[in-house]
Amino acid sequence: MFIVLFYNAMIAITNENLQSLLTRIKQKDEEAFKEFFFIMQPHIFYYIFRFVYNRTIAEDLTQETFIKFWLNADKIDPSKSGKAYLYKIAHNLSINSLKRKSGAEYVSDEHLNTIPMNEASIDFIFMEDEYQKAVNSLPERCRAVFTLCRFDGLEYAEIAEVLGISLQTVKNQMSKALAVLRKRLQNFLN
Amino acid sequence: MTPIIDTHFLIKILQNKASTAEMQSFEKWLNDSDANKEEFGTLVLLWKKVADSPLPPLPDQNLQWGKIYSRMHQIAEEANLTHSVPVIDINSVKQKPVANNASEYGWILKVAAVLIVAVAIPLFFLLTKQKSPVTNTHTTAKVKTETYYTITAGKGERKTILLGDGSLVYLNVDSKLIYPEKFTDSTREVELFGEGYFSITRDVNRPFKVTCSNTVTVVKGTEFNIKSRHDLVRILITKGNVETFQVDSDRGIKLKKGEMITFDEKAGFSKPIKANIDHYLAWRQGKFSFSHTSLQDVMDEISRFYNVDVEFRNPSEKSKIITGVFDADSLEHIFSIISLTLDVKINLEGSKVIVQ
Repeated sequence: MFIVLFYNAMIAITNENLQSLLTRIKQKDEEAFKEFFFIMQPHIFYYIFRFVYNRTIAEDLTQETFIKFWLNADKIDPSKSGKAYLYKIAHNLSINSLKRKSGAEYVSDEHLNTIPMNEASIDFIFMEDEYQKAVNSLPERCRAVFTLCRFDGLEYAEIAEVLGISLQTVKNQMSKALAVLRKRLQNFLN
Repeated sequence: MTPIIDTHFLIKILQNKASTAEMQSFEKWLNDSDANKEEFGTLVLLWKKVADSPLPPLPDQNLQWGKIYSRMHQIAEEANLTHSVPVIDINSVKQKPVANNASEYGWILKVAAVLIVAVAIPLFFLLTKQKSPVTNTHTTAKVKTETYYTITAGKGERKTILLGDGSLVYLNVDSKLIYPEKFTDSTREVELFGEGYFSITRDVNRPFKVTCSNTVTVVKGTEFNIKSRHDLVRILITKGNVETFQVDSDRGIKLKKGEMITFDEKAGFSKPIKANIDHYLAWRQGKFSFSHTSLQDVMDEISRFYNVDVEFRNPSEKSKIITGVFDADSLEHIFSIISLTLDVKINLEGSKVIVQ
């Protein structure tokens, strides 16, 4: 069965494990927070990156997300999804950063030629492919819903919590995202 | 019950979150028709392809954890220094916005309004231009729509504020910070009354501006202390570089780590001098540090810190001079040392301190 292909790294940590970590973080347990950071950092970094498309900014915002989470740890409700709370902080920071910059810094084909190609800069050069362009063309909320569902494996209910929208809106946005992507990527999917 | 096979159901399958029963319904649906197979096939391809795009390498986890860990401890330490003051996260503070005419910007609006009506636009532009380092140059319409909040640390009270951009402001006793509901795209502007220590998150695109009395201090990301008492403003830099302006001037004075400048209404800015950071930041450690300080100024600091009134029975005592560092944890202890050194009597009567 090809479903094995879609094994999601997120599943490696069970929700019970996560909830017990969150309960300890609420009590300001630094070891638990460290463990939580090592599990969640890749997800949060790439979530932010997919919005801001700038590695340095994404790195800074990832740090800020975890610091804010720690400072507000007393507000964690362990019965709810602490993961959603973390994403909520990351999402708000990304959106604020985008608004400030009036558009993400994409490295387009034209720009690529002007960037000196040395080893140090290789890390930071990044070219969007057709699929990323298609996802980025989605309206902000639609893109957030799709990203959280596809790349972060969040439940619809969690996505609703992150974005502060209703479950029905999540469903609508998800259907819309898939319809738009299918249409835009038609030639690549046949 | 047969579940409805729609996009959301198929996503559940893709996310590997379907139950065994759901898997069975799915397989049945898949084998129902070629159209179903094709629909799912396209979805699978899309699902897979969007995740295949290249992404940059992940920041080193250990390195990043180190940064977060040291920032956590820096914040905790600083909160401890200010007597375990809880951090106020402005994002979670639900307070009533300050009506604009009640805020310190109110007078600017009033003046502007009068000028527009009475003297018409040219003079108004002159005014806004002069004010350019403080007010945003985006005309008054912008100022009018902004909402400001105030956090006040009363006498005997200190506060730590976490701003929306991650910057931290430590308010000393009897001080006030005014900040907008949202920082604009181009600047982060706040106004300070009294004394505050600023630890500003770096953002080269949005300079952070602190207006205090008749001064504006502009930074990109650094740490500094501003104190304004009795018309004298002191700006002390503890990290990085800042530039400071008089309100109606665009000629800035650059200051770097360890330097201090004072501003006085009449004399304007002093020359930057090397300052003793420990002395001026004693308040952050819960200490009073006095250096050739008059008893009047000493009692002024004490009255703010302990929320007491001070009465000098004999005015000539006011000009006696004191030097020394005191822990701010016991009023009686401080008074006994001052009494012995200066040969004065200090008595606490209720919430009033009598010097005689």
